Amino acid sequence: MTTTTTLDALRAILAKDHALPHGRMTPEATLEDLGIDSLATIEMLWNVEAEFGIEVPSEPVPLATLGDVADYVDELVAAQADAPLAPGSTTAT
Amino acid sequence: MNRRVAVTGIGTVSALGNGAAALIGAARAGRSGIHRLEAAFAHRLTDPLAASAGIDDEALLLPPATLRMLDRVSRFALHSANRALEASGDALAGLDTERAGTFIGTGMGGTLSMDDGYRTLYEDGSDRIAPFTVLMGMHNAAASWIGREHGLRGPQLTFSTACSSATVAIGEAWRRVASGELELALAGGAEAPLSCGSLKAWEALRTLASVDAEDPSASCKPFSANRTGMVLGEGAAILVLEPWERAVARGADIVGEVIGYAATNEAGHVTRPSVAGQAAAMRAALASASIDAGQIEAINAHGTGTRANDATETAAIREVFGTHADAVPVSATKSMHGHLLGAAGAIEAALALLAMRERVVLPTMHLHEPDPACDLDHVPNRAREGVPTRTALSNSFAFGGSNAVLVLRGV
Repeated sequence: MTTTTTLDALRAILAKDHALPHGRMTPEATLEDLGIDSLATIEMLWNVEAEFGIEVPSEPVPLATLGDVADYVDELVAAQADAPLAPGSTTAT
Repeated sequence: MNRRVAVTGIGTVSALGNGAAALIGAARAGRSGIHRLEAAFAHRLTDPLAASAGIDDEALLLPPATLRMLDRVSRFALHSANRALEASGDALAGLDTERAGTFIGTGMGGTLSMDDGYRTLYEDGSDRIAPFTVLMGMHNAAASWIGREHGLRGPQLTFSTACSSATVAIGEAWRRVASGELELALAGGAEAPLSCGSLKAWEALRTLASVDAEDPSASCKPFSANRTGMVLGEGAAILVLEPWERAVARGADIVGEVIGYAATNEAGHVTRPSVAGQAAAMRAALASASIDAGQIEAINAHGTGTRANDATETAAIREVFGTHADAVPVSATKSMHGHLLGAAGAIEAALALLAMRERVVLPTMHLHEPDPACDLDHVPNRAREGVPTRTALSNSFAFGGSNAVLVLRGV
């Protein structure tokens, strides 16, 4: 279940980095439609790590829509809250 | 080599201002762009000096998401390429873009991005490094962005031969246009090396100038008895090269012509230049242009302001030019724009071409104490106006022994 907070935080990241209007960033909007290509996705996930204090695994995950990203972030937040990061890992700064 | 190659556009970024007009204006006025470095890390340098440049990033007209992928060196390069093409009067119009290439020299590539990344890892103790660090740091990034933005689909090449990189880039582009392989080349160099890490590395090699206490802008003193070294600069210069006949046919404003080039290897000491090595490079360049030393009327010297280079270069010029050596003005413009490393050869070729067009012989600034070992006509401290000059050399001699020389003709 995607919280409004997660989606809003993603919207803030994308609005800042890509000057996307808020109205276009619906949960159903595909990253492709928003102009978020593979490199921009990498950059977005890097910012997500900092914003949410999580570590996004390097294995690729299919993320078609903004809602997919929000759900994925929520999963990671929940999982990593239960299992603290391994020694040597660094949370966001 | 059967086609003449015209230079039809020049774009530059340097401490002497951006664009050909600003560059030649400052150089003929003897204005130095060297200054005390104000960076946050300046206190860690023995002699905090630099020749800094700057551009308006918005003038690149890139979306913010794209601009973030460009290191400072790529921004300088793209800015210069844009201005050079504008000056050329749209040299790309009607061109088969597969016969248009990009040839860029850089010594240190996106070193600022690498430095920044390493700082977060080692100084901040973070395990996170910015995701575009590779794309920004790679040496071919500058050429890549120029070729991409202008749709050039021919060879996209990067040359990294330390301080001769841009001279090699222009020379290799010239060969391909002259041979008929290409109809256009954007050629030059770009460098943005003013990080703490790279300045400390150059400092450790004991090649950097001491601060002139009375006038920091006069700290680089090529050919002077009291010279103490070079000052690192940043910037870029890009030339548009195209066949002479095409340039004339489309009514382009021709700045000058590349007529010769050679690259040679010292095969000797890794940093200490030799008279024989530098002389061989100049001779080979003259041979490639099928002219005699007696036809050279000006030299833009490598002239770094280091003890080793300037005396060796003087002796090498004497060896190549014989009795004619005393009749050739030898200018070291690094006294003003600093040492742009991998871009040096491009800014100096640009200056040599512009000086011929403007009928001016450029000065070697801050030369008040003649060195008996540097006894050529170094045009001390004041430009000579109204001097017609037709043919010039531009010398670039690199650490690692990668020497390169261009032969240029004015209009």
